Amino acid sequence: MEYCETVTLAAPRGAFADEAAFDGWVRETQKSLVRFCRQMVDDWAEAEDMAQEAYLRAWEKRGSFKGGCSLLTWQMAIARRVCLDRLRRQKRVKLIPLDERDAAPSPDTETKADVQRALAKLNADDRAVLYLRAGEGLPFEEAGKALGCSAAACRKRYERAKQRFEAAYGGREG
Amino acid sequence: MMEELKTYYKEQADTQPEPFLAVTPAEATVTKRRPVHRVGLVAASLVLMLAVTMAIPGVRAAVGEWMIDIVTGEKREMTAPPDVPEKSDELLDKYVGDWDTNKSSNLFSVRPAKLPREGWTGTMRGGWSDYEDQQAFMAALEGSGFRVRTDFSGVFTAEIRHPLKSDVPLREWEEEGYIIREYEVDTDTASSYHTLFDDNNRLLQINMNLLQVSGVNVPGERAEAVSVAGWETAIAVYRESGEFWPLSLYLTNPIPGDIVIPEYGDYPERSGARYSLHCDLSGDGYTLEELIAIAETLG
Repeated sequence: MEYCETVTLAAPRGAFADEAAFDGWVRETQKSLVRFCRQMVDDWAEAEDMAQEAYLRAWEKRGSFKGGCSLLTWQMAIARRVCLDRLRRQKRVKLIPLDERDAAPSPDTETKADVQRALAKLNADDRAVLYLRAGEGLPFEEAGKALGCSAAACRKRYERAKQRFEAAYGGREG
Repeated sequence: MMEELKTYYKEQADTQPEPFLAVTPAEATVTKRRPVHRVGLVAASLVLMLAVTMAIPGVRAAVGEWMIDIVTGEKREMTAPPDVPEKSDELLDKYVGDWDTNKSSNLFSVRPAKLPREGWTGTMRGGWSDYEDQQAFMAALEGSGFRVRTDFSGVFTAEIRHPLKSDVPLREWEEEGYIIREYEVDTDTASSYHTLFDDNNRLLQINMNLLQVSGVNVPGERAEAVSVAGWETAIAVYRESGEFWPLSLYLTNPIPGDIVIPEYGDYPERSGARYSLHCDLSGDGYTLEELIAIAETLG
């Protein structure tokens, strides 16, 4: 977020031009933003809360968007901050998410479960950078802006996260 | 390995539930002008939380007690509204009915949402071990205008109607270091809870009685909420019918927005959540006898 704000380009407009535009923006991007948040928090409902908070903060801070990255990237940067704040606050106790705890395992989902377990061993920022690259296919420059770092730093982060994921996935049980 | 990861992301996107985000420009604007907004929504959510809580047998142990810490079993006095004279098991027993014979839900969670959307607020999630129970409850929700979704594992999510008349607090004061804000509840909307509960679901009908007792006589129900340490801990109070009906509920939970009410006798192991309840039916406007008389006139 900070990274985007240092680049001075356009005044607030487009999605934040007025309330109707913002409404459209939320509807258009919410699924994507929730999915991004989901990489960092425990379940979909939590991810929705985080995305909701991120939209709210974006609206409140709309005047600080100076361009230099896509609006969605800026929105993701805010969402990342919201998620990290949330994760810091909830360290003391961890609940098992209802939706995932109750899901019955099946052979078809074994690989998925292995991936989930491996991802769970990473920190939130590692999961975020992996998702932005492997899931969203963002270039390093854009992903870096969402993560508040330069393209080069993002590339390094990604490589490290990838190594950690592969180590975790390779070392899985069964 | 990265291929598996990409496949995982794709499947995740394909199976992603439709978001229930509660953001519209107007509400965002309101929130921008009034940061207290979220606190009010905790209160709003707790209107339903109260209903659900009161409907679950496990909570019976705490209702009517001054307060029981469900994790430790320790009974201790909790900060109470000023001039609360005494507890009243009798009123509960008289109008709430027999809790212990109710069919129980084995797990329920209520999560306050941050913002309302189109008159809705809150997200309620829960699961029943008994499939038919769950289906009946979901049908009741839908029949009351709630939007309900479920996933294959049987967990459902419902949005809850916004019961606040206004986001502007009626009054605000500081008590023991907490900022307390008082809101007016929309009794028309609250009456939808009656519909919700009136679906041959005995657990919820019990609560309907409580709401009827408290909601009809004095216009302008009010709710209070206390937000502590930036949601790290939330303590909330729900008070119906303004100063005349001091039915209060205090809930504390270290996990913001995730209050889990597990089955009686199985609290800490199952949920991992710390949960405390204080419910006080004593009066600071009416005497207990007057309240009972009012209740009787309502049948």
